[in-house]
Amino acid sequence: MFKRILVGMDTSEAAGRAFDVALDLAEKYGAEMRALFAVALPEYGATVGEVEEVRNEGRKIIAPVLEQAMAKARRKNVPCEARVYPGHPAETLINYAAQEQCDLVVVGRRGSSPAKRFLLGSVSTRVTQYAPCHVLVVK
Amino acid sequence: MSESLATLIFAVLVVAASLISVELAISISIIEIVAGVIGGNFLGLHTVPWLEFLASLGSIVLTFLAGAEVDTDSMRKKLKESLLIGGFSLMVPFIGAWAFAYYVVHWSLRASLIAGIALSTTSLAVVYAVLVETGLNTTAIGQIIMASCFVTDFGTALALNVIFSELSWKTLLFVVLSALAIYLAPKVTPWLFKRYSERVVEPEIKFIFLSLFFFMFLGAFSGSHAVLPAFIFGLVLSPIFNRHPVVQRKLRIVAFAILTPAFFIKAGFSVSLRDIYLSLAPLVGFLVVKLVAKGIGVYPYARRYVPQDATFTTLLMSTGLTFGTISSTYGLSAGIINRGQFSVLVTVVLLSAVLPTFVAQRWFQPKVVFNGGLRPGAVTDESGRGKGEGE
Repeated sequence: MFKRILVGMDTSEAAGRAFDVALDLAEKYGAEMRALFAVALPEYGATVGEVEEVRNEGRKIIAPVLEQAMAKARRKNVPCEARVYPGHPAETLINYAAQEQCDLVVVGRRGSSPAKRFLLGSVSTRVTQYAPCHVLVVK
Repeated sequence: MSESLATLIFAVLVVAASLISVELAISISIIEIVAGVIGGNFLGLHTVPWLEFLASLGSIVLTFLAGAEVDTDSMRKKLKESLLIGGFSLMVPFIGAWAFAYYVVHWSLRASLIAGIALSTTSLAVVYAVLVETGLNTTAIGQIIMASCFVTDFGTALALNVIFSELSWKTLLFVVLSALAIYLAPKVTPWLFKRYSERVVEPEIKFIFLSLFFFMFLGAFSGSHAVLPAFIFGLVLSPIFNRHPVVQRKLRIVAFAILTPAFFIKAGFSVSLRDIYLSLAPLVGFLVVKLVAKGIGVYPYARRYVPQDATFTTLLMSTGLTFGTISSTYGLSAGIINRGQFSVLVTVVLLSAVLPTFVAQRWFQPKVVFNGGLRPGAVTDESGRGKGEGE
């Protein structure tokens, strides 16, 4: 049923759980996996350096998480590619899923505060609304 | 309010702004300006001498960083296109905003010139973030847009110095000594960086600050401004900075930890919400003039050089933030514009950072291409999303 599963990664426990569920499904269906982390760049930066630093910090923060995830996938013999892109997490996941023809997007639900949800919106809600394929939200 | 209490509240605002910036992924500068507006209008905060000094240094450091961030190679490669797009992106809004200020809202000639400069700027950082997100930063189109922004930035620094300098023997001395320092910098700096980098006492960072203080001194001594030499100083050091990312990062840390917060929060302090309310019509007028003038100046050349993304390019070139704020702050501190005029200009600058970016991203954003597809014109010898940024 699923040939290519995309999982949204970040440093949260919810994302870790989402990866585990995605890995389990990929193993069952013989699917390949893409683990994607989107570095949200600061909107309206004052200097190019500000944008560059955030981008580099994002890469550094996620590197060990992705390494761990890839090791888990290797142990289960599930083909998995890790990707880091700059951009809004939900938008990047949706665009990537569409372009790379993923059949399923798996995202964790972090349970952000109502204030943050109001200001930024929830990634899982947006992905559920706009993704071009099935979406699984892991709590 | 005592100075120590004002300092404490300032520190609280600085920390709160950085936390909010990280949580909301919005630039720290915008949050700091807003924090300053709140502090100045609702908490009774006002600027104090040490904040004035830090803010003034902050503006020069920002200008230096803008120069140091110039990609001189791409600028050389795309010189003709960037000169045309960047030049018209500067000139047409400059004339438009100056004429609107002088003939329509009847500001003084000098205040109108500040309006012209402040509203002709383009925010390279705002543009850069959008280009990185769309993967265009490594394409020919992205390089043209960025190189054009450099040209506009340079033009702004040049205009501030040329228009408002008092012509005298001191100005000549300012030019000669600045040129000498800029000429010597690429010769001295590599040795200094090689010999003294990676030390906790940071001689190389102190050398950069020494140079900037030198330009500030010359500017004050000659009745001119350190913006242009600081920008060119950054420009000539940019290849050296690119080879020393650690030094670059340290300088950014110093700048973002204390100097740029002082600059942006102090700018926010000087914004009067009452004046904005009383000047809503001129404010909207200035914003419309800036956006329309940018369209007139940039669109025809964008059609010629980046035909598939001409509207997107024009909108990005309409953004403004750092140099617009620096120009307005210079006008205020030099007594060329008053607080009301400053409030209008800074608000227009902020709106011009947000509105064109929003419209460009919402309706005109080129399709984002991930791995497996190169945009037409993609540069293949650099890393980036165009050839798969995924790591």
